[in-house]
Amino acid sequence: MKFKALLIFTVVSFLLLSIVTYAAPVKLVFWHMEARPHRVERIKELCELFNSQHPDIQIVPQVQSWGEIYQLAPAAIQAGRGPDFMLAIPDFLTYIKALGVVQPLDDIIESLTSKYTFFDSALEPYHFDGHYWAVPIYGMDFVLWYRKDLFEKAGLDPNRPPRTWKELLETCEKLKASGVVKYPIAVPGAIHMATDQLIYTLMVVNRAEHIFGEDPDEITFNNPRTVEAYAFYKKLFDYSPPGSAAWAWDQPRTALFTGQVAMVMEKGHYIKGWIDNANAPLEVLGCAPVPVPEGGQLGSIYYSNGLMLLTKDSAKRAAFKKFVEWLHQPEIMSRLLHMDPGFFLPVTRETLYSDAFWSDPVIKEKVAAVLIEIETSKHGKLFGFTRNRVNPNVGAISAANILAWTAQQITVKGLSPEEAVRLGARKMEEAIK
Amino acid sequence: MKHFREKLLKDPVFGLILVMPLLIWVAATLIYPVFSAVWLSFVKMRYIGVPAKPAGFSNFLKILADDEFWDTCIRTGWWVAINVILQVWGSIIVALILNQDFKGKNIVRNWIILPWVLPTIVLAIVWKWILDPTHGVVNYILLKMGTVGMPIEFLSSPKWAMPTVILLNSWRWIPYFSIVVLAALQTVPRDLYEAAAMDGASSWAKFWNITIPTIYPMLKVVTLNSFLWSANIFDTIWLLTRGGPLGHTTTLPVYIYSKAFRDFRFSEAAATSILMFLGLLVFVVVYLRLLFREEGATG
Repeated sequence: MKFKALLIFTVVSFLLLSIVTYAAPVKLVFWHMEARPHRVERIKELCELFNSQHPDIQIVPQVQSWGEIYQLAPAAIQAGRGPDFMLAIPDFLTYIKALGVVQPLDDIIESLTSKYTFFDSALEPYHFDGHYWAVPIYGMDFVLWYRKDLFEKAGLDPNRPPRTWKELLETCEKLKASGVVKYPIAVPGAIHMATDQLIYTLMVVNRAEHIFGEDPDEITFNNPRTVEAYAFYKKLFDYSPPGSAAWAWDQPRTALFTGQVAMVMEKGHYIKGWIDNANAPLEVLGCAPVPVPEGGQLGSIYYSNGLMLLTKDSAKRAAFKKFVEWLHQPEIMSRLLHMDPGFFLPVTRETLYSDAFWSDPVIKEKVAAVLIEIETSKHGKLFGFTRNRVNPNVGAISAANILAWTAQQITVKGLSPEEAVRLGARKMEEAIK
Repeated sequence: MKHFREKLLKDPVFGLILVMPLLIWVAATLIYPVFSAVWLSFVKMRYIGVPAKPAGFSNFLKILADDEFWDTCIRTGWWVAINVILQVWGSIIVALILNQDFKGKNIVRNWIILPWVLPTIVLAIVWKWILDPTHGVVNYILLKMGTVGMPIEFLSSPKWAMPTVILLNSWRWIPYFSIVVLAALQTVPRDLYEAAAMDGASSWAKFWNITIPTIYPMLKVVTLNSFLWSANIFDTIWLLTRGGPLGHTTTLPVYIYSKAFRDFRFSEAAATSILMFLGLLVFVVVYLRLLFREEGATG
């Protein structure tokens, strides 16, 4: 009897002990908006690798779309169905932060910066209100992509792309006059982020990067340099194919890849896109910094994508910390950046100078282009983040695509750049009220 | 048992129990959002999830003072009127054709519904490419034929965008209304046409004096549906033009969406949706009253 009781006691104790000591892995739902299939696959692969190396943590990636995230994320967070952490860009972060769920990450940034040197342009936009709110993971900027074969056919030097605004217009004229292409350059013109980004890039190179004054409520958009940038955009728009007023990301890309136009100013995803879709070898795709006006500066829009934490749970916070520290190892980070080689730029010196980053065959082939992107990123700017602090009003302006709206006042309504910029400034003032 | 069943079926409480799931479903999916929108229109809230402040009628006053709102109302009026005319008359014409005896009639009747069956996103993408000024087949043909010297910017020029979107929307809905009108056409007694033919009536006279009066009750329903559905169309316009260029295809639903999700002024968007709802309600009440009066007059 005593033996039986002892046996039962032992078994029950063992079971209880098992239950107590067994800890389910900490599960973190991760939303990202890199919805192209090859990127989805690479992010999934990396999460699975992390999970296999950290059995106590389970990262569950879920794909969303940039097109819907401004509506989806607040609704999901409100309903208690939001992610534990998610991808962010600076202005989207200011928007989500208004909901009061974004967690400060000072300790995590401190730990990361003790090991890695982040580029200021990548990290600083996430530092405001006395805290860091996201961990940057990759950056992106604009360059001039051009077709060397069409340049050659038009009698232009394929290794001498235009460097100034004047040269760019002359190149457009020569390309058109040669009859090689009917439309030398493609520019987006829809009320869309694509148009915003090109316009802002032209503003940056023309030293008109400040949309706000020192006072966050002061709009300084209406100034002669901004007007010049819009006037130049209009000149490019006139060289762009008909229908450009409705164009966003895809149409200029298609136009360049099919040889309908010879030049487009865009981000680095053209390299992978070219490999997958274009009708010519990769060596045909030329790359140059965005041309600058006289008295202008090298530059482009530049922004980093970061990860923001949306949960207060301490176990999840610890797991998130482990994940971002793991992710920032140059070998791992390079694998992430290679999901679209040449598009995603390193945000730490260690990844940039690692062999792993430069080992990708596509990056090896387009090393000059990637170097141009990296050099440009050092001079990159982002509207609302140019006064060494974040303007909380920027979300309202970027979400309403007011830069693109201003462009359509010129391209669709036929207003002068001066009048359009004046209206744009007024619309910005209304938006931030 | 039979007696009990009859008694049960006549019991209003039992009836209420049977419809209760539906009522709960309607309450959850319709009444709650409507009340939520009404509440939202009386508070000031820019983003979902942030604290709201009472605002009285200020959202309504702001919207009513906005020139863009009134421009959008006028544009919506034109959008609805032209769509209703095209859809009603288009569906009558298509139904009359389908009502004829010809080889392959059944195949045509089945296939004609395709534009209505396909998801809007598919149609929008296909049409965007077909009508694209540089890559599209329509401009290619027009240029090759020499009909135009420059490609037509169907969806991006202020002159062409609205007519194009109206045509595409009507093209999408005409098949559905055609099937409805066709069903009504098949109820027209053949002997009426035969008698009219014996009296020497022309085709037009037969159409105007026999066909239209017989299908008139159905046409009234088709008109009402066409009106309400056209007024509420959002997806087709958004997917084709996003309300552009520069608001030239912005109707009230697009305006409301843009206010909420582009300008992040949820309260003003809610106030606009209440105003739109009231406008539609007034129209429906007036329309139905006129119909009932007409029916009363004709006995």
